Amino acid sequence: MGLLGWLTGPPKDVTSRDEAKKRLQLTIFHDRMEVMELPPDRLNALRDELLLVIAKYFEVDIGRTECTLEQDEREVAFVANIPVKRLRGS
Amino acid sequence: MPGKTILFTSGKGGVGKTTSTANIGVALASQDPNINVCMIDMDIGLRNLDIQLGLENRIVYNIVDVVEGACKARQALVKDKRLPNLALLPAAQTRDKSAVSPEQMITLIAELREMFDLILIDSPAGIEQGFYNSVAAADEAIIVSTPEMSAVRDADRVIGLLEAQNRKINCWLVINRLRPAMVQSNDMMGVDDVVEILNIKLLGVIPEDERIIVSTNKGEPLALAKSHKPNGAGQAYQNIALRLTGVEVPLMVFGESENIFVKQFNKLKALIKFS
Repeated sequence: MGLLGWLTGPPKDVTSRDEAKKRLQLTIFHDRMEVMELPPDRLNALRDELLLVIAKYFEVDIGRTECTLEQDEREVAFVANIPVKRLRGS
Repeated sequence: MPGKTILFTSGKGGVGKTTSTANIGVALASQDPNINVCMIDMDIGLRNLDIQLGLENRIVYNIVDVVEGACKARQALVKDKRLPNLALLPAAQTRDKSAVSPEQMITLIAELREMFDLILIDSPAGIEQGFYNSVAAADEAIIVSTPEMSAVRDADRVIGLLEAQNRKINCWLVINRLRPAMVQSNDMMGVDDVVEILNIKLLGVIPEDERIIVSTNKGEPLALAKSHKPNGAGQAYQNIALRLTGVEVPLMVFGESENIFVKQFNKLKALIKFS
């Protein structure tokens, strides 16, 4: 480092600009969720109810089930990834 | 053709809604004497658009008088001394936001659309009744935000509320009080950061400019000045007015710091980082 290090100062990995942007993105994401009236416990309730219905038709791997809300532009999508083991006989 | 109604809103207070309304309003009126522009101050109880325009001593009636039938809309309009095609409909100072209803606003603006080509509505801060009164008859909305976290967060909330209206309101973003040197040193969010987060169309960027304070002191919006400093707020407001009338004006480039010393040092720093 030597002289160069002295000139550039200590390495700054995260600038306050980056920090502001990151914190803001997360806050706004949560704000949008709340506005949609879907707090985390409601999301879990939705997942459980959904699994009950799916389980009528498929045998599913409950342990590997993932439900999230994803943000796309100004819209939020509910994404469920439910691995199916086999079709249930009718 | 009936006039178009543009709403100025932000959610958060103090980000420059009223200053932006005043400056964009005078810029629009100064660019074309054939365009009749009306500004409405919806901040009932806390009016300030009159003072920004230097028209505070000429108010006789206000918007509450009009909707209550105490006078005609024409009587309440304060004509600008400098621009004959510009008028202000002032807010009442002694009443509150509940003195007007969204239905009354729709009726009032329908009447004003016959008299003016452009109607600019200066919404109060907040998302309560004053906001909904302002939204009631708006065709388009200009969301004013500074590049600060709380302003951007509130702007996002307001955009969400506008999108939830059951009619399409075209939303534009104006970033106010940008400090290019701070963005350059990564101490402030920049235009791209704010646009990425809010994800709406950018109408313009206003740099932080001390002359805004001086011009407000005099009651003469900066956009009215005879000549503009390049890359200053006055020019930025004039550019926004041009874009609103369909003229394509490139965004100002603030990249370079004005101080030659800082500029050279930053170049050196950048060189060292890359090597």
